[in-house]
Amino acid sequence: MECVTDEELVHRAQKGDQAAFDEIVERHKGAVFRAALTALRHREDAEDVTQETFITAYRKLDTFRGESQLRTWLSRIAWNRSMDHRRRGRNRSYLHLDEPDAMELSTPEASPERTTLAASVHARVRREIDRLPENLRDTLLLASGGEHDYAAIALMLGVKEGTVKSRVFEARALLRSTLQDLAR
Amino acid sequence: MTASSQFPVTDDLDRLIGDVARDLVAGEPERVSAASVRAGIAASPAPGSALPIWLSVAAVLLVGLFVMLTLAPDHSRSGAAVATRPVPSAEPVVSPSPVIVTKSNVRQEIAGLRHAEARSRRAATASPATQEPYEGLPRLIIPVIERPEALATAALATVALDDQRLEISRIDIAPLQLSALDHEQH
Repeated sequence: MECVTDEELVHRAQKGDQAAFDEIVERHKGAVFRAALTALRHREDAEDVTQETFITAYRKLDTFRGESQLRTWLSRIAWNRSMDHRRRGRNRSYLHLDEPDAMELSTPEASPERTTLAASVHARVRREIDRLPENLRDTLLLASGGEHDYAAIALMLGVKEGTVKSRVFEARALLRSTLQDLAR
Repeated sequence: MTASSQFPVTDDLDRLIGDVARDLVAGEPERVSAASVRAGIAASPAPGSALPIWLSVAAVLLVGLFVMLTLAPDHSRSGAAVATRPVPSAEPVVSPSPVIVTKSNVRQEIAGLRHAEARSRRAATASPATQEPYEGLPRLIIPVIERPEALATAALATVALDDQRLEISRIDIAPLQLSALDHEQH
């Protein structure tokens, strides 16, 4: 199944091929999970949304016409479900993602002092990203993930591509100004 | 010794922001797999399968509403009836003095009835001047119906003409009791 295209998998799954749908899940669960994680910032909630997304996709597969990539279509479902979670306040907290400890940032050649410093700088940047307005933060994180291009992000968020670009630019500008002291 | 002077990554702030943002949303789901999704699909019923249940619930509600509307007393009508009902009094209601029907009375009554009948006929066939604005509109046909009073009067007249004089005796009507009114309302 590795070399089968998404279109072919969808076609087979639409005809009731369960193995084809299983392959869709395995192929795209990472991207769907990361889209949900971007919105919810909580791993368990993101896993729940990922599961729900594939169940929804299974039921709505007939409506997929191939107008966008399958990954974008799935990520959009995940994003919308995540927004529902967010509105209901079901995600427990934005800030409870595991902070990387010093060991995670260490490299064989780095001194312990340097590693600790790197951890504190990362923590500072995380905090500043968390303080961004929601729409800027969402767009920046989706764009930084490298999973989707601007057009796909625009489709997921239901905005114009130009809006995505301007939000990413504005988010980076805000972060640069607040983290200026780190660059000196 | 400051953090900035010690940490070369901060020289490229954009790259640092990108790295941290990527780290924030990195990872793979641990619990989600093709098998778990399949199990989830099997466990949760499709939204369409609940449709018959909703339809039957809606049907039951509609029937209930219909029955309620049909059986409920018409408050507006009963209210009006109560409002126009005469207030019962303790005094016995006595009819007016005996009515004397004479030949002349009957003739007058019959003449009055004929006048009334003629008036109603004239009203039914309105004058052309008043019809003009309604030209082209469908006509409302009002048939001339003999009033029930006319029949009663004619019957009385027959009796009166035979005997020359007819006396209708005094009628006493018992006062309406409040208890009877309550019973009627219930």
